[in-house]
Amino acid sequence: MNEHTKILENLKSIVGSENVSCDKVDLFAYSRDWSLMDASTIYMPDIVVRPKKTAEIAEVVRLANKERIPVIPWGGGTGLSGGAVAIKGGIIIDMKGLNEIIEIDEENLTVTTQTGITVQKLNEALKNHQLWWPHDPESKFASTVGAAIACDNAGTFGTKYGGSLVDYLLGIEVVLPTGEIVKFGSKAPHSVSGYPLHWLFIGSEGTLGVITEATLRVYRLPQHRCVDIIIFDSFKSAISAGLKIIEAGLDPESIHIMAKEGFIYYTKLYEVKFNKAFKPPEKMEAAMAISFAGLKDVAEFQRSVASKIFLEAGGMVVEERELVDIFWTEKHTLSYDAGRNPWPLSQTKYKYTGIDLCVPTGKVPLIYEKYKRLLKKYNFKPATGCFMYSKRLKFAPNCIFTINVNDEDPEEVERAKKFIHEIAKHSIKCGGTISSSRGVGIAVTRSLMPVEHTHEALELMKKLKQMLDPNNIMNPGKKLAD
Amino acid sequence: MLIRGFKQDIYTCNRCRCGFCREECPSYKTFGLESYSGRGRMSIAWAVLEGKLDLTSELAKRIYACTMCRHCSARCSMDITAIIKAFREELVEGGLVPPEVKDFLENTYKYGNPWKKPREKRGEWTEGTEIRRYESGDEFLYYVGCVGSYDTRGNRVAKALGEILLESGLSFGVLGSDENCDGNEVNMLGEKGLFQLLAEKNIQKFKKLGVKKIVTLSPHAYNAMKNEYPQHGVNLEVMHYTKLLREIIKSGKLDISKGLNARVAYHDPCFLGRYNEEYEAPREILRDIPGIELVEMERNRENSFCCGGGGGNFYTDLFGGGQDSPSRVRVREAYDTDAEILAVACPTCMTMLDDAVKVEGLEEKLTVRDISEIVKATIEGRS
Repeated sequence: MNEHTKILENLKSIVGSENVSCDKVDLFAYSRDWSLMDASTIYMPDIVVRPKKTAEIAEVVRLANKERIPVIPWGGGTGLSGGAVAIKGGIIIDMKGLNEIIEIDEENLTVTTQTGITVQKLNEALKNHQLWWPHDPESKFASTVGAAIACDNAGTFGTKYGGSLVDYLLGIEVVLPTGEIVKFGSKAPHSVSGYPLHWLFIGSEGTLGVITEATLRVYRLPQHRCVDIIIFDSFKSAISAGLKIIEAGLDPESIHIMAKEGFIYYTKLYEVKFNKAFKPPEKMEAAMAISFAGLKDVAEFQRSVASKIFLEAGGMVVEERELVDIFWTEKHTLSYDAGRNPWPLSQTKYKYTGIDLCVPTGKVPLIYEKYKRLLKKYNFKPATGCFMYSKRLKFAPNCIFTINVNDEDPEEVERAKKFIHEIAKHSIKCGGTISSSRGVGIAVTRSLMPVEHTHEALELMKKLKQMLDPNNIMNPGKKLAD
Repeated sequence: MLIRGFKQDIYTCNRCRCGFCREECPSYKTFGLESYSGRGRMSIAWAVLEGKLDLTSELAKRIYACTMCRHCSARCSMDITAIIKAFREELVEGGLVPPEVKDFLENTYKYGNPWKKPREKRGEWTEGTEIRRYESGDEFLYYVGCVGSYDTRGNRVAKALGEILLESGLSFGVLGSDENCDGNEVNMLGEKGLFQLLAEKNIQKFKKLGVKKIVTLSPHAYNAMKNEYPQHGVNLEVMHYTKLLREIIKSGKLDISKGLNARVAYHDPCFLGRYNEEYEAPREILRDIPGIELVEMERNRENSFCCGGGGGNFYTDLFGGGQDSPSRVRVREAYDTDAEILAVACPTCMTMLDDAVKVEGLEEKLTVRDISEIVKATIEGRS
């Protein structure tokens, strides 16, 4: 029996033979995610396993650690930075077998769940208790809770509830790279008694261990929600209006600012359904989607105050309700019409790609101008343009800059990488970061880690990684340089 | 069409990777690995087109372990199910179908049914009833299909529908031993040559008999005859029985006033719902029966979860009967509604779900009944 066969047999004895495969037919399904790569690139793992229990994962990881085999946790496979692809082969752990909700605590407003459950399925279960987890990425039908933590990705409702997992994550169970199962944190809404190590795994991109369970803060479903779209002639005025809303003491759930292209993209159905095209005003540069929720009187009162602020700030409230509703539907936030998933249609010729930057609020107009210049320099069309969630309570701009790339042309893919690299470098120059919600993974921006972070900081990160993962088996080649 | 004909869609999926088709896929639910989902199968198709993967029997298992329920297609702007069907056609051409599928196709070719049952026994279920052979001048041909004709539980459903149609005074007849397989599953399994043969033979028979209108017991036959047969040179009025029964009940030709006191959940068959967008007729029938409280399962209408019997799996049983098999998942979902009756409008769903109720040990709590049986019991004043 050769080494590979022996390992395979061991894995089968841990998770059951039906939950292990090294057949190429199965491995292809795990060879790509949604990240920027040319059409023919694949990263084949050697083996895929689908455990159902934390204990099984611990055994798999112990075996991998002993044999020095890379281990890559895989959630929904919708990542935009290549965080879950096996660039060095090894074992992919498909986490979706761990999809049980352990406890919904209505009184204390928490949910404890295994992390392979999708964001959508978790929210469906919470809804039965009149609760919800406001983290709401567009990928929610496929992406998992574990991946949300590992990438610290963004959702729509960050303005009120917090868009970072730091705002939700109270406790966590992790299988460390050496196979120990460790729990961090608790249900306590706040604690300073130890180091907040549960937060260490937020944005860790599978490099520090396998996140198997999480206790999350959840909220009661609002009784009423009102949504509006406001058109602005510049990003600057949209941002300024958003800040005024916050400063006025209003409490919006979501402030989502997008470029004209994005708004047009998300409202294509308006044309299909009502045979009416949205005619953007000549001077339109940005649109803001805003929502208020709570008791009807409270939400509507806030909306009416906000409308006045928008008018004063030069905004124009979109009166066509069908158009507004379609935006929210198409954005997959409030509802979802089966069969209307627009993503594949938008990518019949070009691959959607982009970069998730975060700069200090005042620098957003500056980097938006840079984006427009770089589109011309590198000859790209904006996909959904630029859009911005306010992440981390109130107003922390999580800015996504998007382009369409012909991924069947390797030269164009390389050009796209240069575009991304340059705008990310500019973000650092503005005092910002190279990633605010999608992770670094194997993205071209990884080479900018030493630019964004000090040498000492990076060395400390590496030491931490080495301490937890002495044999570098957890998702090697990602995030930090080897 | 070969999968190359879908190259743009396959490459789009490979580029997009949204995975929205995955979570509600019965095959993925059963087998767990992504290669058993719509997106996974598109990865396999992409690898084949790129010359990175050969057509093998292992590959065929992934492509055939699909109920063709169209849930993935309903979630996507592309028709993934059509691509899987094209994939199957290629596997049939390459002689790579799983043995269970091969047996199904051979038996259907030789015997006109997948169980090697004698053709002359096809009409035996009518014995002891007044249901007669179709005669020239009858308004409707009642097409029963293989499950209604040969399966014991299916026989009861076929009989219930026949008897209520008689009660309504409808002019109709059956083909009995002259009936042949409608070919819907043959088509779904990718044997288009055999499907063409079956369709043409059936069409020839219908034309010879002067059939103008067909009412089918099974949504599978309904789908084939309504959507595929016209391409083979016939233009019949085909309806699933729920639509006809709704009209009959609305016209007052059946006395359902005795009612039925029960909490009922209705399961949408894929070939009636997602394939043909008929969601309301069965519900209206149930709502019209006094005493019935119609409840919805969590997944219903366009989002309904397949019983696991579609795409030939009723016969080939490639899914097995494990804890996560679609039929068992579905009856647990029905049980969660506190319904006493799980109503179906398809003999395949009936058999799949009826078996699953037994395996789940729910016989005392949940009964699977076809809408025709429910209507019959109502007319007769039985519970």
